Amino acid sequence: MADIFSVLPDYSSDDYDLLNTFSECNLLAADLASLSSSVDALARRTRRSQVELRSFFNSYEEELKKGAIENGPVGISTCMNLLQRSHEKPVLRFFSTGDSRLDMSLFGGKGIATGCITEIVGESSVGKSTFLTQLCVSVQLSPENGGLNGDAIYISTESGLSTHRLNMLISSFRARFLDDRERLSADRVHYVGCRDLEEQDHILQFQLPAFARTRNIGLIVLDSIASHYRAEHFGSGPSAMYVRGNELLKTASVLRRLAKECKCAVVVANQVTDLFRLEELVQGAVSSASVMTLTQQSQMSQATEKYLRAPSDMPASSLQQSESIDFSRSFEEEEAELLASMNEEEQEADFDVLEMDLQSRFYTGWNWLSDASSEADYVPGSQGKTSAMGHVWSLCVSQRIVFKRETIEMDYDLGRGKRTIGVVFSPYFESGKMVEFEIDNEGVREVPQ
Amino acid sequence: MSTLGISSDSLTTESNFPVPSSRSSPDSKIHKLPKQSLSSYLKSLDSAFSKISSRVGAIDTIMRGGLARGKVTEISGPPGSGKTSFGIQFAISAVLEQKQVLWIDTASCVPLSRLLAGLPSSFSRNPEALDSYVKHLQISSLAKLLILFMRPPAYLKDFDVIIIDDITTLLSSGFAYFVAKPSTKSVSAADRTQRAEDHTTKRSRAATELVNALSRLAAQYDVAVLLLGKMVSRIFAGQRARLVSVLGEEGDATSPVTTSIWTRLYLFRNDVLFDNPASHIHSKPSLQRRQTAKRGVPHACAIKCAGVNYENASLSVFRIVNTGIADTDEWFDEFIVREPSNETVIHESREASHQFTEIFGSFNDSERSDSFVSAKQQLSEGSQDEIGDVTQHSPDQIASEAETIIPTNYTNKTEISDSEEEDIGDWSDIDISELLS
Repeated sequence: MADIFSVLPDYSSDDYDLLNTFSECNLLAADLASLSSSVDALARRTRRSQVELRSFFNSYEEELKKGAIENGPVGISTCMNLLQRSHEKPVLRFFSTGDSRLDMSLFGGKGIATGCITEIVGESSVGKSTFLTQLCVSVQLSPENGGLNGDAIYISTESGLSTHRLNMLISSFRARFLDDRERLSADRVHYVGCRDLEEQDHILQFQLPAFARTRNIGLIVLDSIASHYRAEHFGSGPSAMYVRGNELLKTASVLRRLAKECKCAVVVANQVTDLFRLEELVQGAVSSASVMTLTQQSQMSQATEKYLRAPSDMPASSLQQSESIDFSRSFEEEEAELLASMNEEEQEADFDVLEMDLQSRFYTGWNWLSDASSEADYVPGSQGKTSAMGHVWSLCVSQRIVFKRETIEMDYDLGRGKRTIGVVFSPYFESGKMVEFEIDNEGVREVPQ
Repeated sequence: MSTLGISSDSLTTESNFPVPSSRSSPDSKIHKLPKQSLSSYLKSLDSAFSKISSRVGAIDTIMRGGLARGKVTEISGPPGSGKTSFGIQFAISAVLEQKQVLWIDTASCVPLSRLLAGLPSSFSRNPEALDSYVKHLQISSLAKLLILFMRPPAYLKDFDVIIIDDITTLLSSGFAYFVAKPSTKSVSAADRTQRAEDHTTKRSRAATELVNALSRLAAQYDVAVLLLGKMVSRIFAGQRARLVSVLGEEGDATSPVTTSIWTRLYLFRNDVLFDNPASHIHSKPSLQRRQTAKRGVPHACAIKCAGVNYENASLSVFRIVNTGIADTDEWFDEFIVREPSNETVIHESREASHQFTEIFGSFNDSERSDSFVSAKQQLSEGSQDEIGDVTQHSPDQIASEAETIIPTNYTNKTEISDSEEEDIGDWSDIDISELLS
């Protein structure tokens, strides 16, 4: 059982030989749990006696039940320790982002949640690292000032933590929160850099839990999740995606366990990738299908033709076909188009609302459909942006916060416009609202309206 | 009569049936499910007593009453589509009916403040009262979740509602450690599919065991089980990626959804184009019908209800609010009320919006799809008459995501024009993001 120690960290057995047999048969902890009712089938597969297996299952079930299941369900108010019965930290706490106005607009006055993975996604130099540094400072504040009085761990896979920025933020916070002057310190931000995926895995699985037990950790930052996955070559084609997806799921489950054990917030930065045109998507799929049989290939080419001929549901392809790109299309024109196309019945025949590309615009942070008619996210050749790491990673995070920056045309160059931040999805807060923010020596702050 | 729980009016039909008496031996009582006559069972299926209502009219309609007791209900959707909000809504409903709720967390912790926001303030002042109704369990691995329901501890039977938020996190990552065996030979296509299959096989086996165990538990102890699941992506041969429930689809041989899940809801977002009734005030015929698109409106679609798969799925829109989910006629009202208009307009639009929910509310299995289609047809027919000067736009347009949900009675409300002569204003001036907030 390869994953027995991640499921049951304190598991000890008299019969490691049996565990070896399970590993050879590719049985994981969850497999054994699901096979616990069909012992005879398992006996045949592993070539072990049923007696042996039954006694294993008895001890295995007992081990699995230890802890939460054995103790039974607790009253739900213990999640946030509403009754203040226990001196332990509750699972769910919130800490301020450092700007109370931002907390109020986006986070219901509360802030970043602990116990789950929060993702921050945005293009480079939009302000993600500064925001993360600010979180490292604000988590150190006392609970009265909105913090958790906890330390922060900053794991960097890219350029590292800017100590200059950190010190500036600390002095700015010290000036704002006089009673926490002693509490705020750069010593409470622990930094570790990792150069590749293997190192990252090792740090997250072994070094970090050991370290976290010695301190009161409030926040773990991983900046960023995407850089190593993009750098490393997993192969090509669908099996590569599958392997990468597996690695992402493993990392996510390790992060989740950390969040639950340390009862801290885990904030992960993610990068952005472009979403390409329909034809290119299909071409890419066709070209990677190198080992498909002939019949499959012909099926695929038929389907390709169907998609290429069918009215594309991508607005940007119409933009690309037209000579000039008109950004001033008014809302009414758009709606009139919508209406005109509603009249054509065959449009609806191929429409599948649950297609990933169509639904993804609601949870990646970039709605390329509505944004395509504004200057905000238009990049020549692409149809907009999407969060990196794909749908698999989107399922791993509990909350997603998006950072955007407008690009405005200024004479011969694309200038930089206002920066906005918003919640894309979260079980705790309302989504959809984008607020403008600015960055200065005081940190990341919302621009007052 | 000897059987339990028979109401007097059903006695007449059952009195001739040889009903086994309850004089069975004490030992066998443990192993038998409670006896009930068929007709009273069928009656109880549809009765409000056996359902936890969602307190939202449209949702109750597509679910035929709400969460069914003794059955497993699945609600799945992409991130941000409203799954946790549904869970909160049902949890609050259950507490308001004084039922016991067990909330099982796998990834994030339950949003407690949203729960409290939907309950009477006495619960906020006195969290112990809340504790007596809602209990919490945190399960961090798939193996533990399986054992919890395959070998259920005694305390599970005391609950009326069990909500699991969510099952996808554990089902996806439960097998992430599965390392394909390295092959010494070059990797052939058959080998690669063999490995990929193993992963999928493991997941479907675990899903099947879990769901079967849950449905046994639900039936035995009359518990309503609600599974919230994030949708995973699946690439169909030759096509693009599509989102499906983590438990599989109806056609899958290995999926438990066919046998063990009673009701399935798909949640997703979509753009809705709807008619602004206030635009009837315009005198210009070409501008009479003004459409506005509301972007990313949450939709709920029941693809299976009460054990029956729907050919033409029943669809409804809803709103996500702090305390869970809410009805859309509220949303219509809100939209109209923001407009500078006279009271007549508001009054008429409120009436019209009630008819809107009536349309959705009156759906039966057979009529449902027909009414929906006719609303769409009415729009396309009507629009061709009125918007004659729409210039030809290229066919590849935005519209394939935009559905039209038009309360058919809107088109007939010409008497709104009344005394209102002033121009409502250009629609493009209105900040839609303001309306959406």
